[in-house]
Order: sequence, then C-alpha cells, then structure tokens
Amino acid sequence: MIHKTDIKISIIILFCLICKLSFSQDSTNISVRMMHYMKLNEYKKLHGNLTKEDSLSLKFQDSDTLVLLTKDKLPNSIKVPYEQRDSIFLDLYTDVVFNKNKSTENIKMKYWKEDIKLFFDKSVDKDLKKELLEFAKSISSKIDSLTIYEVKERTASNFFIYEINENSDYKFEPRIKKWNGSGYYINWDGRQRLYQCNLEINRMQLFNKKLLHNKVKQTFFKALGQFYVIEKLDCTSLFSNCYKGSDQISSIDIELLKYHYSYGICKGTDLETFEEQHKIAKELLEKANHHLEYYYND
Amino acid sequence: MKKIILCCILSTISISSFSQETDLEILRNYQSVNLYKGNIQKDSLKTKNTIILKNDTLVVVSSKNKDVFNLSYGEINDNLLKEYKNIVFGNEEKRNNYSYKKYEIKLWNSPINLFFHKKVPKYLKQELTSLINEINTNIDSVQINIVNKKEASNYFIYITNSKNKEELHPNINTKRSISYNLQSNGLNHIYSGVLRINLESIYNKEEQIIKLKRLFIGSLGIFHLSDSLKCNNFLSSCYTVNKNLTKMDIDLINFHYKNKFDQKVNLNKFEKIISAYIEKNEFTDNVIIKL
Repeated sequence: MIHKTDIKISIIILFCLICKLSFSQDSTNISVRMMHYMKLNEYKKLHGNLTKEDSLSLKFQDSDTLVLLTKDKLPNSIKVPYEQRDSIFLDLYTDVVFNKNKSTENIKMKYWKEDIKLFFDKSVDKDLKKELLEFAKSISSKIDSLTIYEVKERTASNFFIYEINENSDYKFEPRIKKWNGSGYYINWDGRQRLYQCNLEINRMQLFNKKLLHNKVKQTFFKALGQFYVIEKLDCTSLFSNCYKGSDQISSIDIELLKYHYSYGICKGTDLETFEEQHKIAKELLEKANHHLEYYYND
Repeated sequence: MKKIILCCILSTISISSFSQETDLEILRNYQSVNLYKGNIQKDSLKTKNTIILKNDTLVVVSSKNKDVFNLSYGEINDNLLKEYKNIVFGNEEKRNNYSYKKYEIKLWNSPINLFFHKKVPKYLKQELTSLINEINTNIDSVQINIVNKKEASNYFIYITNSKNKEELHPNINTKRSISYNLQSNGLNHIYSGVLRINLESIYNKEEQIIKLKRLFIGSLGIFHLSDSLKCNNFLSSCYTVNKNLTKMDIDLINFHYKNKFDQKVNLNKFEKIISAYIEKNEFTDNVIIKL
C-alpha cells in the first residue's frame, strides 16, 4: 500500500515537472524595457536643470543620484558594440594610423566611406592592372565595409591610376613628388573621409617589373586609410617599411585593416581621443564586465 | 596566504616590465597559431607580443631585437676602421657639418642586375664589365650580373647629352656630369639604382672610364671619397686616371658587406656597436652584441 501511494506521488511530481517545462517553452517572448540612466551632475552639464518629470523618476545607486533619460534625450544614432582588442594589437594600430611616437602632428584617422571606384588610364600596363585589380578584389572581399571595383569612365571614378613610362610621360598629378616608383595624392573632407585619390605608377623610376608591382600594391594599400609604414612588422607585411611582396596578404594586415573599417571604433578621431576612449572602455570592462556600446553617428 | 600575495605582486611586476620591452621587437612575422602548431614544435612557441583575436591567435614566428646585433667582422684593423668611417659617414673633419649627420650604412641586399642603355658605347661597357668581374671574384657578398632585359634589371646605366632636356630618370641630379640615384627601403637595403653619364661634358675617354668605374663602386654602398687614402684607390678623393681595384678597396667593400643590418645605423650607433664588439674580444663569426 505504501508503495502504491509513493508511486502516485512521484507521478504527480512528474506531471508537474512536465507542465512546468511546457510552460517555460511558451514564455520565451520576454519583453525587455531598456532604461537609460545618467549621473545627475553629468545630466546637468548636458541638459540643464531637472524638470518635474525627471525628479519623479530619480534613482539612487551607490552614492550617485541617477536621472532617467527620456526618449528625446537619447542620442539619435546607431548603437554598435565596442570591439575589445589587446594592447599589443592597439599598439600596432596606433603606429600605422597615427604614426605614434614618430609624428608631432595631430594626425586623425582617415577612411573611405564611399565605395572605391577605380579607373585605370590607358597608359597602365596590362599585367600590372590585372594584378592590382586582383589584389583590390581580394581586399574588398575580406573587409565588409570596404568595397572596391573598377569603373569604365573616369568621370564616374574616385580613384584614378595612371602610369609614366617611355611611351607616356604625362603627369596627371603634379603634386606627387619625391616618390620612388609609385606615389599617391589623396583628398579628404572635414570629417576625415577620403573621397578622391590619384595614384601614379612610375616605370621610369622603378623599371624592375617585380619590384614595381610590389611597390604599387603597397602604395595602393596605404591609400586605403592614409597608413604609415612601421618597423615592427617584417617584410611580408604591407604595413612594413621594407615590403618585399608575398603570395597572400598576411593575417596581421587583414586584421589591422578589418579593425580600421569595423564599426566598433570611432571614426575620424585623433590619437588622444582614441587612447582616452580605449582607456575608459578598458577600465569599465575590468570593473563590471559590461557590454559596452558606442553611439555611431552617421 | 602572504606568500601567495607576494607571488602575485611579483608576477604582475614582471609582466609589466616585459610589456615595456615590446617596442624593441622589430620585424615581427605573425602567423595564425593553428598554422604554426602544424609546422613547428610547441615548445618553441613564443608568447611575447601574441595578439589574441576573437576566433584566432596570432603568434610571432620570427622577429629581431632592435638592440641585439649578430656581428661577423673578424679581426678589426684600426686603419681599415678609420677609412671605413671616412667612406661611409664622410671624412672626419667634415663630420660635424649638419648634412653629414644623416649618413647611414646602406647596402644592396639582393644581386645587382645591371642593364646598359643601347646608346652606352662599347668601350665603356667592356671596361665596366671587366671591373665587375674583378668585384665578383674578390668580394664574396656582392654579386653583379649583366642582364639584357630592362624589366629584369635593378640597375640601369644610360648616357645623356646637353641637348637632352627630358631626363630618363626624374630623381637624378641633372646638374652633374655623372651621377647616380639609389632607392632603399626602411632597413637601408638598396633595391634599385640608376647611373647616368654625360659624354659631352666628360669628353676624354680615359676620364669617362675612370669616373664611371669610380661612381659604380661608390654606388655599391653610397660611399664617399676618402681624403686620406692613396691616389690609386677608387675610393680615394684624389683624381688620377691610374686607378685600379686595390686591396684597400676590396677590404673596405668586404668590411661593408660583412654585416647586413636590419635597421638604420648611423655613425653614433655604429661606434657603439663596434666598441661593444671590440670589448667582447671574440673576433669570430656570429658574435652577439647587446647594446
């Protein structure tokens, strides 16, 4: 008898469990309401004194007074998660973008917002054009927000490539000077967006085919973000000051370029801002392991 | 418990001091750790300057240290060293001049493939070719070939005349009757060069030959001419048509090519390296010097 009741109870328990399981499957659609709070002193700096509504929704945490932000007070832009990177990677990145430790100028990070539309002048050697196009395509396929393709008319392009050789000596861009074999002249706007580039290939200066091809590739690569060359990477890297060509674009080059064109960093900033932001982000992550987001202003 | 805390503190200190050294590691070759594991044994895996990514880890497979030099100078002859400094960094009495301070050791890091323009006269070609043969036999680390395709060459010699307004090579000094221009990378390794000679302003054949030879030798490392060398040396600043490749010339060029530095070396750095080398007193090959 005792046994039977025991079984009954266990059956009831089992049922209950099954019910609970099926219930929980039903309730997957949890609605979450995001609330944004700001410290009182910071709120006053941005929006002035508190309104009546604000003071009704005050919250106290630790020793801070927090004000609830209404929808109209939130920034009107896209939120993107902060991309965490280690200090060694950031060290390389600041070297190639800001020319850290070497430049005294206040260099700002520059990038292409529009698609890069290449136009090749008829003076450009066919082999070189083919190789450069393949190179550009392989970069374009690896970086999401960087699109490079060839256009058939110069008027529709924003990246003009020409060659100086024994048959063609017209220098389309006289501002390109001092270069050995290949150089570029690039334009950017006030928001540090690159929008037009002229690239010169000079076969008179560098007549060795292989050397010239490598030189042009590196010059083209540098024009993708007004990059600087560094000594920290070896000669297989396009960011090195001794690039000797390689079959494939090295993984570190791709990673640096990917980061440059990712949404997880602020665009167009200078070194000081960049380092400050990373310092704050690192401190916050260490303190609370929060999910950090940037407001991306388009 | 106290011991553990002490250990923690010590290890954090050592980590932070390591990170300060990172700047000196140059010429890093990064590879994905997955690729690396397959090729090389795990215990040789370096952890310094490793980059951790979301889906991958990049490790340094090879690198150089900026303050470590691997030298093979052998015995050092004081007179040779003095002359060497004269030809690489300029004559001693002029070295205080500001423009001399920028001179650095530069050398070819690949075979020189020479191409002559079709207008270069035969006698010049022959004379230079015989000098090149001499260099090739006497100087181990310099290799000079003569090629017949311009696109396969990395050294181009052409002639010019006073009527030539358009210069074939835009980077060259057009005011001089004979001059060269070399291109080098960030490690001061020369990879391409041109030499032009104006046969109208240098009309004497003997003079043409000597000046061409002298400049060609100079372009093996952007050499200056020494005031203290004897007149028959090519690297002497004194001018005469009776010059040949002397033992001194050969020794100087050999000395220059004994070490291929992977960074820029100016006089200041060179003197530090040499004095550290002499201090170590080993004078064999592959002596490791740490500055």
